[in-house]
Amino acid sequence: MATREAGKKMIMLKSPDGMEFEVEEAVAMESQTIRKMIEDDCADTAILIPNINSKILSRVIEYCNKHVPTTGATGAAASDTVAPAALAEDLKIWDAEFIKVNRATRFDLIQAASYLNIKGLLDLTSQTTIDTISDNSLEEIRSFLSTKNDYLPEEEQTIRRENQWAFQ
Amino acid sequence: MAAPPPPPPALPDDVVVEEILLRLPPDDPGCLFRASLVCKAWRNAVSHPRFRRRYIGLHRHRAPPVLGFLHDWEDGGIPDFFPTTASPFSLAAPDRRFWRPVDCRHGRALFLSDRRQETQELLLWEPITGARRGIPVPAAFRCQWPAAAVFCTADWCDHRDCAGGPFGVVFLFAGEQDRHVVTSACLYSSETGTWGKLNSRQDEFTMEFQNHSSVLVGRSLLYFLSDGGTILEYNLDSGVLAVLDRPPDDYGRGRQRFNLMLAEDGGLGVAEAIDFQLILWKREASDGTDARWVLSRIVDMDSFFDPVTLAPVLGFAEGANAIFVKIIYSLFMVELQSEQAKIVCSSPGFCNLIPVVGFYTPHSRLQVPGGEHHSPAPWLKQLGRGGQQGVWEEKSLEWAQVLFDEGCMAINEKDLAYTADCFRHVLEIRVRHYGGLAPECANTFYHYGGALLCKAREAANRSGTNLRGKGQTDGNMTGDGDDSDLDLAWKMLNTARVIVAKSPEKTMEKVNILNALAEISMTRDNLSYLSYHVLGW
Repeated sequence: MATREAGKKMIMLKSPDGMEFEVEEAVAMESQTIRKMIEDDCADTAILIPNINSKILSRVIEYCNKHVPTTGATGAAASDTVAPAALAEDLKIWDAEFIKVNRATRFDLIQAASYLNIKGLLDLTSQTTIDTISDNSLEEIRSFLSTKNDYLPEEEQTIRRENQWAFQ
Repeated sequence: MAAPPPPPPALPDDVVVEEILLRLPPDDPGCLFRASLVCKAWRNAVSHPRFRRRYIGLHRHRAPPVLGFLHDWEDGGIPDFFPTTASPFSLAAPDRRFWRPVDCRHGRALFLSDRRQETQELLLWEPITGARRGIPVPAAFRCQWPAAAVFCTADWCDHRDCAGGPFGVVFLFAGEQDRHVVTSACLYSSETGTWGKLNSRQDEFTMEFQNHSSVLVGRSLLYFLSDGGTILEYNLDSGVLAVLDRPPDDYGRGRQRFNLMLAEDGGLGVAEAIDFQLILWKREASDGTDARWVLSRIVDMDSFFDPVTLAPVLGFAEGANAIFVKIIYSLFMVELQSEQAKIVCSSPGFCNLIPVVGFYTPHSRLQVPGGEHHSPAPWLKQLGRGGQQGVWEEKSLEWAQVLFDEGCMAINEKDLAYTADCFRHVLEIRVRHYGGLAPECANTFYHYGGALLCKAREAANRSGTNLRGKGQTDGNMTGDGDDSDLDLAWKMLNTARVIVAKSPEKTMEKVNILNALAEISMTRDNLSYLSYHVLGW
């Protein structure tokens, strides 16, 4: 395993399209899936992340880099100068910028966060989608998510008749 | 509304859909219901048992929401189930013209049939699944206004998702015996399907229970409040029925109504609203003396209402720590933790108001009696009232089939612990229905045994040992006690072997079962298992 700087363990993450990303172990371990691989000693030199292309993987790493808890000398320095509430506020603003992506990328990020088991990223990406669609009508949701209504007209009619409350 | 169809990319797959829908807010359950109407794939996603399990798990750090309440108001224009949620919501509660709601707890609501009917009976209704089940009242019951309480009796349960499991019902009523007034209580067990012994006490006057529901403290103390303001304690373990004194009348309660609740420490409490204050009492035992009432908290209501007087507390939502207060002509729900209040509706009068608390997820296939799978909206059908027991059993068997499919899917996803869990439930249901050695159960015994074997094998691989040989852990399969899985696997597979042995034609099953048994035997290095049970067959 590669090492860099003072005692910082590095991990190589590989995407299926051949790109390699060298990241700090602590950053990679934001993913519970990778954490488990490292703890079980299944990660020798590089970890291949299947199904996640380099574009999405680089975004995921960007997120983990930002969200890894700061520890040690740099962490202490940071918390001396910036209050925790301000840090949290800063993260929130950063998240809001980070998630300004198109729909396809957001779904890819949800899938990647689910596979890599990164709770914060999964909450952020899924919640943003929910916030986008929750006030919309069924037709608007279907249209937004390119989902086809496969209820037969008579099925839909029965549903509407028996559940008028849901369509108010 | 009808936007032109967008370009085809970005169709979210099942994982993405599930992750998104899991984030729908539990206190706005109409959202999940509407999500189930987007398309059939979404309906299947949100009504799947796995979705419910994950949904409750994801929201485990918050209290379950108050979905609404049951009531006995006479105004026919008010629905039987009145939602308290942010957006419209509905549950198909039993018709209150025939069924008077008396209690709701642990995912089950209890109703008593109209007292004008010749023979009264109890009805259990699960708000989330829609399942119903009739329960006879105790034979000795004669009076007009009894009290009843329902609760889950599963030992391990956190009561967030225990509908369908074992439950108990306590029935409390007044009567006359040898010219004395007696109050009696008895306990029903869903596992035996019978009422236990009647526990009675003599009282000076007849108690009626029309206006209040019960409160369960811990696992064994149920409290009831009579219309006259007497507090009764029923101990589920000892069967002792006792009368408690009331909180002191320092605040000029007079004849105003108060209500039982759970105090912040989980003990018995009382809430009363006087002038513009909400006064909360708790019962506290101190220094070995008898328990007494202690003032626990005063919530100033004039911060969120205009100054008011004489406000009766109509209900307490167990598990959600909220109370319902009627003020002038409106009904308010007050969350005691946050002291937030919101108006629920204009209240047409006093009633026994019974909050329904829990996590809602659409529940489709399970409440459909057989043969209706192709009806347009099967998840909306309610079970009929006739033949409830038969339908209930059918529902259980259908549930078993769903769990079985779920287990088979989980095996593909390598979630072996969950697989074993599913098959265990299936086995419980089928054994209860068909009997322990019925041919219908052979396949389930085999699958459950097989899942346990795979689980043990996986655990062994993980810890660096292998199933066939003793590894670093010196014979202990995993180091974390999975020998018990292997033992249980052996028992299950052996039972399957015994069942299929009776039928000469099930040859492939025999081979499969023998293979699995042989693997366990080899693992154990225990040739006596092999020679006696397998080769000797």
